Amino acid sequence: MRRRALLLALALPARAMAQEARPEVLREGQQLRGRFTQERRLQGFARPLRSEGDFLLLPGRGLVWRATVPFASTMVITPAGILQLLEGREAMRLPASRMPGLGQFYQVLAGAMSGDPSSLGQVFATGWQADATRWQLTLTPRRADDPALASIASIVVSGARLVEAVEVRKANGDADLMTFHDQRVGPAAPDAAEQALLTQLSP
Amino acid sequence: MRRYAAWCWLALVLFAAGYVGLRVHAGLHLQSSVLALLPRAERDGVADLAQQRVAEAGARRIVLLLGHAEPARARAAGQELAAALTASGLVRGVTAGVDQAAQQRLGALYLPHRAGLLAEADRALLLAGQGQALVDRARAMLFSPAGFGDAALLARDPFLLLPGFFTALPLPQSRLAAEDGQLVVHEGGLTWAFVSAELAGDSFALPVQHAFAAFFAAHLPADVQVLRTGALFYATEGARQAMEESSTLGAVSLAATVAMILLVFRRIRPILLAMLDIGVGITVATAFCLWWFQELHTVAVLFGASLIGVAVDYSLQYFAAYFDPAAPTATDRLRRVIPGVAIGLGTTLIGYCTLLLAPFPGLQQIAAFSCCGLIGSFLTVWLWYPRLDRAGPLPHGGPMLARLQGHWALWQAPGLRRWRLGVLALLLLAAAAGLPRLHADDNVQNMQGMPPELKRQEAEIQRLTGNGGAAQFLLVHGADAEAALQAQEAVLPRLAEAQAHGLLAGYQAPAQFVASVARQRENAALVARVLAPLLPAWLAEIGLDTPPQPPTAQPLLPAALPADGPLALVRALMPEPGTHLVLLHGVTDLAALRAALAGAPGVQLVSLADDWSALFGVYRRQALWLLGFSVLLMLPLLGWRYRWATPRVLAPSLAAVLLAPPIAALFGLAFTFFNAMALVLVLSIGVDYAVFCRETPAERRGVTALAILLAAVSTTLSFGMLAASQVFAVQAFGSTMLIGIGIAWLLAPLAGGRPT
Repeated sequence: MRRRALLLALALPARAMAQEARPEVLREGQQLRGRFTQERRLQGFARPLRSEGDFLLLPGRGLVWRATVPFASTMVITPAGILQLLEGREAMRLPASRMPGLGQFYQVLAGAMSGDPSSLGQVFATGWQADATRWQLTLTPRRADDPALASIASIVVSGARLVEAVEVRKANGDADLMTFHDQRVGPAAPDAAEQALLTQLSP
Repeated sequence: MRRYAAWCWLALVLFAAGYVGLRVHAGLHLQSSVLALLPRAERDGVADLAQQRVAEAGARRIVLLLGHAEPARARAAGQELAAALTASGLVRGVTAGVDQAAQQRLGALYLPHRAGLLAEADRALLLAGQGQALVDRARAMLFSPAGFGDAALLARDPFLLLPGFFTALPLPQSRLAAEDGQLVVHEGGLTWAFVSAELAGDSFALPVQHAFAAFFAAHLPADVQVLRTGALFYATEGARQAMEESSTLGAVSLAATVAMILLVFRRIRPILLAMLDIGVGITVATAFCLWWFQELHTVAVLFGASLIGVAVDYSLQYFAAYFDPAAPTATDRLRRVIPGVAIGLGTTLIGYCTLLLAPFPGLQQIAAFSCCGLIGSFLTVWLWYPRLDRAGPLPHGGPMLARLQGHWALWQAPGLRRWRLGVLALLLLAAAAGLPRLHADDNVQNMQGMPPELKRQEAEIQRLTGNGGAAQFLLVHGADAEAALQAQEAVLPRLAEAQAHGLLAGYQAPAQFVASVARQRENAALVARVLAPLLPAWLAEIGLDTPPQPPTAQPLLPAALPADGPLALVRALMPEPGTHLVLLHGVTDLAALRAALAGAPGVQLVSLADDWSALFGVYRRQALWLLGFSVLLMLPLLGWRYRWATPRVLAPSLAAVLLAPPIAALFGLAFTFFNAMALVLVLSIGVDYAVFCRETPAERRGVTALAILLAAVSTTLSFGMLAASQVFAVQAFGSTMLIGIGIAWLLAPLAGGRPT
């Protein structure tokens, strides 16, 4: 896999680059498959909300998020919005035009997962830490008054070769932690069902 | 006495000129919608009020899309334009991003009343007793990576019904997404930034149009593609086209008339006199219309420019008398032509006055413009010519007049009987051939003459944004707001079904934004019955510790909706408490939709274009009645003067009126309301020619033949120009005039001369 020093955009110190770990950057035409564990720690709830499943990320096209535990549900997130299916039936459809934060949310998530947070530099102030094997990127909204991000305190993305965890910390104390494993990078090859889901949400 | 009148006339003309100058200086208000030609009486009542609200809301809006391959560049261009528009003071409000504050206000508005608010789909699930499906959805939303819902929201709305309600709201701009605070849509490698604004001024006011033209020239970046739509751009283009055409057509008509006069008279004096005559006519007419109507319709301006062709007829009668050796002085000439000209003016005024009787504001303007212009021209000939003209008779007319005797001979010489029968047969044959092709066309969309480039951009914007212009809507009547909302709720399922069958793309009804009180109570009861029993288990499952905060039982009322922000449109859809509008988008099959909605109580399907078209049909037929009526009105005047010869005097123009439509049909031209109105003028101008001939003693026949030839040529020149107009209405008018005047002129000597 070709590696690109896109993180230069994030003011990475040039001299450190030779030794430090860097995320592998996914390009359009590639895909990332893997499994996820998600834990939502919400204030006012007795226990965290945990879910597990698998995902498919197609940079530039969208993310298919299939939970299997504690119940089966499929969610498709693209720049155009969100589509949720329960037992194969459409349960909710949210166009990005209705929820201004949604487009940004997709950018953040997809940018972080594809190892290419360069597009986020405009919106977030970035902090970078790395040693020889692992790296960590901290994103904080540049404008506290940006209403689309008002609820987000910070986002911490970390990993080795590929992204392994994304933690979204909310201003009200809530936090969502997503961890990824069994990730496989390859040429884009969505199956027919995934293809159909992404097409349903393309603008 | 005449001397005194001449001075008075001069004072009046100077006053009129000063008034026109003042109004032009202050900025003219040019009306360019062809619909403004239609009767105000038809725009009355509630339908009208409702239509006006929609039209007003629409007429002030402009929408631009700025396209660039680089998303960041497109976004920046959109944001810069929005900022410049706001700073310019030309607009009242700009929409380029999602107004967060407005969205939050929307949330604050609905949140207290959430007990009675249900999305249609959720309501259907609850009615079917499938409360569990809503629990499953709430769970999926809560567990989703998008991070929906927190303790505060779930305590208020544990099943997340309000987000469902928001999502189902048929707000506009469905294909646009907010990126970096700017609404955009991506397609085909281009990113389009959306900027919409509400004008502070009137789209039809020329100064507003000029201000925007200057603004866009200065603020639209050269590197982005621009699509634009809005009444402003159509009005600007319409006014530009009309001004351009009237100046071009007017100039060509004037130049041709001047050339013709020069060629025939070989003197400069007739030109100066004719120009004075025309100038006075147009000045007086413009001043009167501006004073009486306060605005000028572009079509009236166009006809005004062509008035040159008619106004000059009186001068031409006078000039032709230069070749009459028996009339050596100006007073002699005037004495010879004034009876014909006066009767001609009388019949023409009768013709135009029937237009005045028709309740069409635009046509009233045309009629008023023409009447004033013609009276002004007549007074100028009558009062000023004897004072300004000291020339003697012209000697070079002999051969010309001799040749023109042929025009009379064709209709009167016994030896040419075969020829005249041949001409008549040819005309009848052409009409007979055209008769099967004669068809009426009342489609308003064919008449509007919209610039194709602007229509393309509008269609492109509608496609890209997914926002259709609503040309059709439902008018819903009820005793009060509650009744109107209930009537909509009764018909909405039918609309949903029609949408599912592809009869229309979408709709927006006030009841979708604020349900009737009855429906809100019903919803609250439904939630209490089906969902409340599931609540304890649900809260236990997710482990919500925060105590639930039940909503108030107070229903949301229509009056609570804000008049600005994203719901401004909804307020506009409720012009009266008991009168609501439901906008219909992308109707594909109007007849099927009409059938699907048939019998819905209090609901009326209104299709503006179709209704206007039907109206054009009604008035096309009425124009034909007017035509008959103006013949009747002319009869007393003609009967008084010509007794039993009246049918002879009427014959040429009646023939022109009857033959022109089928002959025009031969060229594939449809018969519209505007062609019918043109026939009214063909009649009165045709009668003029016949009257001039009838008033002519045998020894002056050559002179009159010259005068009506010049008149017909100048009229044909100017109206022939109208046939070249891109404004369909004007073109239809022009083509009928062209053919009708030709026939009326050809047959004019049939009226016969005054017995010597």
